[in-house]
Amino acid sequence: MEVCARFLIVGASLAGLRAAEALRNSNYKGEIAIVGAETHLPYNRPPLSKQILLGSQSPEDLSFPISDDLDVTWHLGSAATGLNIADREVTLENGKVLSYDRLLIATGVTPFLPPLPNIDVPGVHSLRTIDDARQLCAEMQPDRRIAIVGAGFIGCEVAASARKRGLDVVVLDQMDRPMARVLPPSLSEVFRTAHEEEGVAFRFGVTVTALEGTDHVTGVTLNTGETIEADIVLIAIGSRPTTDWLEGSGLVLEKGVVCDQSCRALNGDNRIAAAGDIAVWPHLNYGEDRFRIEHWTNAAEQGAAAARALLNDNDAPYVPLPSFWSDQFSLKLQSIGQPSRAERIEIVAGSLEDRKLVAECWKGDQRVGVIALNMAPKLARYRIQMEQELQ
Amino acid sequence: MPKVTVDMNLCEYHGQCVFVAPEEFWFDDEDELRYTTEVPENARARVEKAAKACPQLAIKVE
Ligand SMILES: Cc1cc2nc3c(=O)[nH]c(=O)nc-3n(C[C@H](O)[C@H](O)[C@H](O)COP(=O)(O)OP(=O)(O)OC[C@H]3O[C@@H](n4cnc5c(N)ncnc54)[C@H](O)[C@@H]3O)c2cc1C
Ligand code: SF4
Repeated sequence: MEVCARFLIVGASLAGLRAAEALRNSNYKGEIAIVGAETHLPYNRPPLSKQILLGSQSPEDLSFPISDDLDVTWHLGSAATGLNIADREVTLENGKVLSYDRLLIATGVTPFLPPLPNIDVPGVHSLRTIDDARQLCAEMQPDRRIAIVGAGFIGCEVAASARKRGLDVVVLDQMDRPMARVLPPSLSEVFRTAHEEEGVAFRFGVTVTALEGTDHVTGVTLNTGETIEADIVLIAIGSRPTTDWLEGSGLVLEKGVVCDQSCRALNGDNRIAAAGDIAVWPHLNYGEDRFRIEHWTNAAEQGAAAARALLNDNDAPYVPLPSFWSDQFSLKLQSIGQPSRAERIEIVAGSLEDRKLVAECWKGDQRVGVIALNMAPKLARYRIQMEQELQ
Repeated sequence: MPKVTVDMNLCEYHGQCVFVAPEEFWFDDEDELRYTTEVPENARARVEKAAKACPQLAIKVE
């Protein structure tokens, strides 16, 4: 079956939705079609590890408002399985073939599940979709034991939510501190202490070698030989870009869909762009290195920017100020810029002891980022300044 | 005139709205979020942009 869609968006989530909205805002009157592997209309993911697990929001609350004027043809519940650049066609799992004039790739990332023994035993979870959250939530009964593999943001957020719901929580990581890839050591320490005060146990410097159990998971075995008993296991050791359906298409796939400065995919015939968690592009203000940002604000902004670049054939470089947040217990973290590049931090307001601070992150004589802990309002000023520095 | 409401039970003080529409959303001296509840028609686009930038989907514009 052949359906013609002039502007085709693959990935029905934040980047895809904001792309469609940007097209309409730019007065694009042609057809827009959006393909989504999930059966759901676009919804908001960050609450999945927070409000949804806590029960303070329900899955229905997460739907993004969608204006009637958006006038999109939705193809939901069927993943794209192939891209033919010469024929300008995308094939779906259900056999449909959609042709396009312009294509935006926004298929995000998929949690990485290491090939460990028993990784597929019931009770072993990952968390990316609303369906994942429902399944995890259903198992999270008070007094059950959850082992969380990976002390990154999602792992730590789930640890906080699970603990608040009365579960016994242990977090395992091969690094020596939580959120080590992003946070400076002193801030990791604040989070570690806060979690431990609430009763979360950490095991650092260990790797998981196997999962135990046959009908249901019973524990995880570590490289030390020891087994930690658990009724539920969450694997949260990062994700991989969802590029499987693009293999062999001719696009350049290296840790994502590789794009130029304005988010157009290399080898994409100038008709294809990528946005959100899946897009790898050179941020001109941050040197020639191409990188990917796996955060909410970028998905929203890049979706819109990439759609406009495709629609208008413009080369405007996409140079956002990266930003993200995380909520764990009473700690609210906000970050702008690239704090992971910092060599040192300077606390310019508040203090580590008060767990309320603003920290400037420096590399040499360059301020590469700013982090606020429980002081989000103070970040507004920096945000405006740093955004101007990027223009 | 467009009416703006923020569900303060949802707001996590991310400040995205303040950044996008500083004339309509701001933090006061106590770091509380304040906002204009009725904005002129010519500010509609800006407050709608702020609503879209809010990760908590806390802002409604009618
Ligand atoms: C639990 C959790 C908590 C988070 N918390 C925060 C936070 O606090 N702060 C923050 O800044 N960010 C957070 N994030 C990250 C943020 O949600 C993502 O950056 C954002 O969702 C990325 O949007 P996207 O549109 O690029 O991709 P996604 O939201 O991943 O959407 C991609 C979509 O494409 C679909 N898809 C995949 N393959 C195919 C295919 N072949 N065909 C069709 N469709 C396909 C997927 O089903 C999915 O719906 C969190 C993410 C998770 C999972
Ligand atoms: S963007 Fe949303 S969550 Fe953030 S301060 Fe504004 S209303 Fe609150």
